Amino acid sequence: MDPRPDADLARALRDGDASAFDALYERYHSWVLALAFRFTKNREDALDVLQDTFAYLHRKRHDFELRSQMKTFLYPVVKHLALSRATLARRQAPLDPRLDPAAPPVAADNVAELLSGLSDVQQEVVLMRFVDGLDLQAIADALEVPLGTVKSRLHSALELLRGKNFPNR
Amino acid sequence: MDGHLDLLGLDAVRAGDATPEQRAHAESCADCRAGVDGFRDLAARLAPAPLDVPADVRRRILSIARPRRLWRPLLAAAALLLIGLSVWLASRPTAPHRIDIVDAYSVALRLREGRSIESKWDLNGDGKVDTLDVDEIARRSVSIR
Repeated sequence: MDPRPDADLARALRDGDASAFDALYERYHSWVLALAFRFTKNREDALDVLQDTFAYLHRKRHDFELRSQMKTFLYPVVKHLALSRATLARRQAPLDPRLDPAAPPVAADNVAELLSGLSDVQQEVVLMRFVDGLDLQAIADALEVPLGTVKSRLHSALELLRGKNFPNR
Repeated sequence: MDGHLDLLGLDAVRAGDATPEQRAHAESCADCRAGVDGFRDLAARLAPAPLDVPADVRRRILSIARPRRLWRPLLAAAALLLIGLSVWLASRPTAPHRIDIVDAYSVALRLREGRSIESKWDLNGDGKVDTLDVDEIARRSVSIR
């Protein structure tokens, strides 16, 4: 396991160090794949998105500067690639409702049940916070919305979730 | 700190990015600890099942950062070609520079008597010296250059 922090790996990648690319892959591939699956709901598509994401990272290496968390940089890339792929799949199989790119980014039935009643943007913020482990500022950066918007969405979502999942408080 | 933590405060304690005051309150307040535990339980329930990356996909992705070295297979092909050419040239029967009609007679005589004949007289390159080579020796000996 490469001990270098993400910012050092980003610099090394910019300087053409292939081992930095390997380290970033080892560090983030599971998360990228899970996130891609959340949007595509299809394992093969998610694997394609994983590959496209790291290909994009490599293409961008020359002017790659990590200004925030790595996940903040990767989140919109994965989301865009996954939704593009889902849109393409939807065109090819328009009758399959699971491939609707407008559907909220939910991965599994149990998760869908847990998050039912939340709007798409609330679901997205909850998943970024609880599953992806992003802090509020990173979520705001990744979604390109003000921090206050993230706080508001998360608070209203947590209120709904609290009532559904642990109503004792 | 007055009162209980709000929802974002409870979540901050769960996520480990709470302020020291929020953490201290959660440690001393049973209600807030229960709220934090509720969010921890929610996080565990939302966690997706891990997906494996097939070895070929992993290999393909990691190869992105390593440009293919095209000169290596080209160099190997060139080396093989050179070796093959050398072997072929070395195995070719070498004909004498000057051929005389007497050579045709001499080879024909040795053929008839079943004596050994040097491979250099295999002028048509069929792997043996026979009457066809005698004809070729004779043809070359009288050809006008």
